[in-house]
Amino acid sequence: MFPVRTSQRTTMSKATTNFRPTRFSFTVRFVQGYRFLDKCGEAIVRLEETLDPGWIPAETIPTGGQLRNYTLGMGAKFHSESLTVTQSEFLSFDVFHDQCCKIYEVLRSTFEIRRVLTPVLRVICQVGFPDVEAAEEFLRELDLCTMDPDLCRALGGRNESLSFTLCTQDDIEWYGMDARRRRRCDVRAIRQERQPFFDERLVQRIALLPERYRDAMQGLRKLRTQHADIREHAVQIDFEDSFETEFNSRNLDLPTFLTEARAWSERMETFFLTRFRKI
Amino acid sequence: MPEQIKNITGPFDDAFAGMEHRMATAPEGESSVHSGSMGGDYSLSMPGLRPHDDAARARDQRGWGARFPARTNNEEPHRRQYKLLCEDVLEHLRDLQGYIEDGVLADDASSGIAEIQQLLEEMYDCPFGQGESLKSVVVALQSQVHNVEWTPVHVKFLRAAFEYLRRRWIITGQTAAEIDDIIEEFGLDVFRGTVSDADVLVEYHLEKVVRHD
Repeated sequence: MFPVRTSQRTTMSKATTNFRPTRFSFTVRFVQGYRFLDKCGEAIVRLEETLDPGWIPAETIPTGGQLRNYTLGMGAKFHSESLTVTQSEFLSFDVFHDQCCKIYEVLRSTFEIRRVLTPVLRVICQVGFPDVEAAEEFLRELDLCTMDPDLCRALGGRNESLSFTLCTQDDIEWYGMDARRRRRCDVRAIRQERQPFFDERLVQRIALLPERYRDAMQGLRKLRTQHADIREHAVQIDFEDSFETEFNSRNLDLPTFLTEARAWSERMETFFLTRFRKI
Repeated sequence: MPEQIKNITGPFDDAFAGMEHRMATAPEGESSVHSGSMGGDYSLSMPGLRPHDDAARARDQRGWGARFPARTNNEEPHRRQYKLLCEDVLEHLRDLQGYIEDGVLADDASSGIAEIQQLLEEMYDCPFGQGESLKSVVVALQSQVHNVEWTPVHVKFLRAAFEYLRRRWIITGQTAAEIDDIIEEFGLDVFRGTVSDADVLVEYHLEKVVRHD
């Protein structure tokens, strides 16, 4: 038997969801991605032909291309400067990895991107609490950093909230290329509102929609009745792994980068789970 | 564990157990990330088989049954075959480096060259890629290395080409065009062996005719 402080028992027993990833996000920047202005339409056509069924354009405007796949819970946005791919709610890293690599390959070849900059993978994990006070108390119990008592006294009052961000960087050789690896961990209590997906095509006559849009809208209708367990108040831990380096687009081994970055974020999740058990 | 603590760690036990299982069952040196990326369909009616299969869990949470995910698993065996072929070629090319002396490839390298050409044939038959894109890529490579005396430039060209190819997640119609770019970067003739090859051009002569009117 070992002593357990009442405040710890209260904090941890108040957690209402498991600690788990709720969002994946991949971003890469393009160098001289100006051919986006000439070939955005062609890129969207190629993406629709290459990716899994269910990807449909969200909007086609000159400032950016956007596609969504409600079935997979994924979205992709791109323009002349960058590409961002996300997956949220029901996550599957295998699928996310596969679709990211395909989208990158299609855009890289369509826009003839020779060089890319700073590939980033973010994994956002959350654990839900019934209210913001419980979330903030849990953060303090994690004891990730110590507050300067002199600063607290200078501010006056009592500590209400705390957030924590740590960045590390290292110059390494990555598969024969010199690269600067940067990793970031951001911990904070958040408040979030769920907004069900909506698409204008949901309310259009079926006969006016192409067949691939009808299937996507059917998927969206089904998805709107199912929700991942996301709480209004949560402690969010954001893991980010990136290379702050310019790469030849041919030489960037994106599949390996994503796999290694995810493996690192899994190790970080284990670290935090071990920390949760200790408090 | 003391009784009163078990309940406290309840919300984290499942997540921790899942993490421990994935880390413990991942093959040595590999991430546990792709534990669910095997080919074929999975079913959670056999939960003991792959208890932490992310793709299957996401599929069932969405209620999509066997339709989720769509193409990912079908491509995986072909992609593995393709990657293994790329790695084999690169390994033979690394061996060929030892046969280069004073800027010339020694005759002893012929067996290694034959192995590489055989691997190119196997890659031609590999079903990976969109349509026949991979065949176009192999044809582009073979146009430079068939029926020619290999030089160190050919070795460097193939090495650059396969370093590029092994990092590709998909092979599309654009991949062969990028191989052509690599051919030009190494000063080789993109049109070698094609009907546009300079060697097969017909030669014309213009002759001045003096008319005496």
